[in-house]
Amino acid sequence: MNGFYSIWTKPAGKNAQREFAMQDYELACLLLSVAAYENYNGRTKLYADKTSGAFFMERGLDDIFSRGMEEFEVPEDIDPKVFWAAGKLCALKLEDMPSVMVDTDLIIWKSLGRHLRDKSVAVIHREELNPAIYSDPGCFPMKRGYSYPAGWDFNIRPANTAMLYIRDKEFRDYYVKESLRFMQNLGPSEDNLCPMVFAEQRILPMCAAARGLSIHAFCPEMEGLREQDMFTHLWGHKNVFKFNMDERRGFIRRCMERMRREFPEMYERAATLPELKEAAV
Amino acid sequence: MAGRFTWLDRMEGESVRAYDKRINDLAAFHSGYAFLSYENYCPEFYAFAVYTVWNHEFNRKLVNPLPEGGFMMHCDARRAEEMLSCAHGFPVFVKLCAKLGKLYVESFAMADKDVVFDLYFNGCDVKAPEGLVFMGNEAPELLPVQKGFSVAGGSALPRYHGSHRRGSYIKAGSVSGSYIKGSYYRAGAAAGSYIKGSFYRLGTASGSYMTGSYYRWGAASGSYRGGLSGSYLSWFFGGGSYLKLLFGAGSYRSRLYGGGYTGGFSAGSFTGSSFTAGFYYGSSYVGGSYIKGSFAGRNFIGGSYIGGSFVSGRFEGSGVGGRYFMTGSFYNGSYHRGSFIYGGFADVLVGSAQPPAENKAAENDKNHHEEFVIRRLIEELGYGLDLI
Repeated sequence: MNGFYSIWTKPAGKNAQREFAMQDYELACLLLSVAAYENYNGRTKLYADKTSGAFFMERGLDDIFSRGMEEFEVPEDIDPKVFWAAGKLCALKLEDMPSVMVDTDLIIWKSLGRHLRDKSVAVIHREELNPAIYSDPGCFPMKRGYSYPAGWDFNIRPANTAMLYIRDKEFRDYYVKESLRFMQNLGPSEDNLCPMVFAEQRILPMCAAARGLSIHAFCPEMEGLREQDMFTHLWGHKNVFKFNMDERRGFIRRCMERMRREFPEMYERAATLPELKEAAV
Repeated sequence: MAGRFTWLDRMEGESVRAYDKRINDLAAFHSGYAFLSYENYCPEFYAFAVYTVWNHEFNRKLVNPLPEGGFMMHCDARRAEEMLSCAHGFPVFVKLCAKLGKLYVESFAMADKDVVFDLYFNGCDVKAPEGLVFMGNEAPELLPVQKGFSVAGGSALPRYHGSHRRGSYIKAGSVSGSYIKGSYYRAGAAAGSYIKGSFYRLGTASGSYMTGSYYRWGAASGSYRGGLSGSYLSWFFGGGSYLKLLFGAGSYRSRLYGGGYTGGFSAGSFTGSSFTAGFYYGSSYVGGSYIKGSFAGRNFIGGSYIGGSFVSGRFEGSGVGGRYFMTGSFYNGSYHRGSFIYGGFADVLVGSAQPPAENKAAENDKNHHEEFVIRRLIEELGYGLDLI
């Protein structure tokens, strides 16, 4: 099963783009994620914009993805501050289906094949319809002329897309089209949470329902995430790594040790990187 | 003060390696203040969620600018009480590190006189204090640029008079007016028919209606009929007639000395010649939990009421009509901690509160770190990190 990652740097701002560099813990997690995915599931590809692509080329990491890297772009009329994850949708648009979209801070530790055999769409877990995050669609300042498709059911629980499996191209096209259409039709907004999660995580299940597809969730309830042994997702823990160097170093050491034991080829690459060589075992 | 931290920049001609070494060899230095409050103390894990204020210039130089919250500091309840008696911020020291020419913070520590506490970032929630009080002009360059605050230097304290006074003042000699509202640091006196705001070291205050936050209120005199609400840390001392003093409940015709009132609840120390029944009667609520009872004689009640349901501290009877009883719900329906010097206390405790647990807090005990974190949401913590 093919998998892909994407890195769009524009949301970081022009200054950050000029000096773009992945943090050491981000790099350690991504390398481990790629190694694990290639080992348990299949071949990977990185969709990178010019800036992130240059970063990987400079470090000689362009070939860690067995399907290589591909440059991609996000339409100019999508506000990167509001839709900071639009790059994922644009990368998804380019990918051949079936495939698994994997966040750079997510590691999949087991084979997905058995679980996805007869599934059309799969995610790790569903989200609660928390109105503070998934606000009423009527609240979005949409441009004149935009309307939600008639068949959408706004009562469906959102689906977290840290990992997203889609089998069919037809459904992928529908989802991406609707998601990008929403992004391109949002009026000026300062909100960098609600519109983004709507476009990515709420439109997905509504599109699926409209097409008569069900979404498989590995953990139907959030609480199940504590017990599962298939996924590691840094998610908000990245904020802890920003300000807690002990935790950060401990995490990197654990990633490096795991690579050394199970994915020695990736470890060799990681150990030469300036960001990670300090943590080389 | 622009330029105070320019030495943290990479100098012209300085290699990345040399810069990293220079920064990594630096000693820890003062870069901000930490603020503690009752609301941010978790007695279960002996930990404060700490609100921090950073020097802006310093903070801008970091790859990841430091947030105001999310830091945690461990100390036992007794130490927490001591530290809470100081409303001013505690200096925070940072040890920096540099990696590939980028600046990060290696570790944090805050100091209470000669005792140093480690600060850990775990992203815990923190409630921002209503007003920030800094240690005078000790390090004015650390003061954040805050809208609405002004700093008056020198020993001559300005006086503000007028029928309507609104604003933020540091070192106001006296403030008077029929309507006073704002933040005051070292206001010598305040008098007005309506006083509202945050006061630090307010010498005297009088008014028919007062509300706000007061720290070290030297003395209060007069008749207070309108009600007093807000946060009162440290001293409250005065004589006279206090009618409807707290939240409009009960009559208080006694001397009140030493009190801490946080969020409309009692948390601090009280010594009085007589606290008549009804002092707390049905009038102290935090988050739906309450303490109800009569306190006579020398009473000392203190601690943190978090989520409206935690009591810690010392309950002491002098034998002068020293009947104690409490009713209500405590943390998780079963929690209070402290030292209770009255044999009959447990007998008259109504509800599901348990006898006090031994205080086993070890200051700065890292072992509590994970437990304190565990309550937080999966979204904030990620999942499966133990699988690596």
